[in-house]
Amino acid sequence: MLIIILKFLVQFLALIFLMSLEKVIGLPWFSVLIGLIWLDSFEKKSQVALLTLLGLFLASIFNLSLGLSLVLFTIGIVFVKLGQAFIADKRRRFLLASLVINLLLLWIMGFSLTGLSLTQLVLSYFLIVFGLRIFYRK
Amino acid sequence: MLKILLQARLKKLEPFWGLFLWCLLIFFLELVGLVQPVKILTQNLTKPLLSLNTNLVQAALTPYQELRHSYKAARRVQDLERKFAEASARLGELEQLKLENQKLRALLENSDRTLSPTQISTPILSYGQPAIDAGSNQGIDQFSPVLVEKTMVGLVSQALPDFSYVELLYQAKTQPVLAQTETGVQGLVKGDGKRVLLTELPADAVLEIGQRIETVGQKGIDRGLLIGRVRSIETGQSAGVKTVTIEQYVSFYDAVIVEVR
Repeated sequence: MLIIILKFLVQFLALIFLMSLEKVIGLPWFSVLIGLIWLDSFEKKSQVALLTLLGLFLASIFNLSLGLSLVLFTIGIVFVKLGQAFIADKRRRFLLASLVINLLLLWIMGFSLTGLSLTQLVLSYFLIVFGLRIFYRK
Repeated sequence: MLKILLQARLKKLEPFWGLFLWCLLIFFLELVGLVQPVKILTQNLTKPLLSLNTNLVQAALTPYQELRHSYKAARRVQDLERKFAEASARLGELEQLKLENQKLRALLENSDRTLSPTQISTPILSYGQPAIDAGSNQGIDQFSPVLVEKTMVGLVSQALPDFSYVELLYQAKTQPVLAQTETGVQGLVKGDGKRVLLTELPADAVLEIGQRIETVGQKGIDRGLLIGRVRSIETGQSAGVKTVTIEQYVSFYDAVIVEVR
């Protein structure tokens, strides 16, 4: 039980660290995807609490509305779980949900699309595709 | 058929109705202001992580910045030598003015209290969305000027309780700042997304490359804050106004600590 709790804490802290790093350099391209994968791996009953915790940290780090952060993640995770009719491959659903959420965050936070943010997008795309191939087998 | 399809879809969403209702409840709690204290507490908890990551990014970017600066080093050294000579010439004059000022103040107020505005030094928390580690609790107001090495680089756009967001002068959405050159030509400092510009200058204004540009003084912004120097002069298409590109020798992204007045 203790190991499970520790594992959860380490995962959560790693996610928050990644989120804050991406806040420093730009948009949360990678951490939104990791957050969706993390939420998807837990049982339905705990998703409300985890979603709230995740949304709270995203909202705090990027100074967004908490309700908006929750809605974005909720729609994202629903699409990932139930979107087989649109896209059969779950990995592609993760990628699409992550991309759309990040584009919305870009629009909401008023980021301009500069060379730096485009470079981050391209690099993050490669990291996401590479990471999904290695770490996510479902 | 459509009705059956819709019913099937809604049935699939049943496990998630709880989540959607939870989101609505959070929206309502946010509307009445109950979420804000929790969010402020979480922001304070995440600040050490943001500081750590800022230091990591700064350490990672330092070699690249050193390389970039060394490429322009020769020109910068010549420019610095010229500025040093000018500054030395003005130093004697300023020392004299300072002595006179102190004597006058002593006569008028019978006290040695300084009248310079409060300066707050604060580390940078984020570069992607520029933010600093001080907010309204530390006395920072919206539209306070942000300085790097005594040069104004931006304004505080939003002052939260414990940290603030900054809009840099080169950004297009930053509030214009009233400024003037050494010869007294006044204009508005704006950004176009890449450069800091001094605009709305009369077509017959006398301008020279290298002239200092300082703030004139407006609500929340003191007079005499250095913004930069004239790098290039452009005449508008209608030839009715001139626009000056301002060279700032410091950058928010190269700084570790900034000043807010």
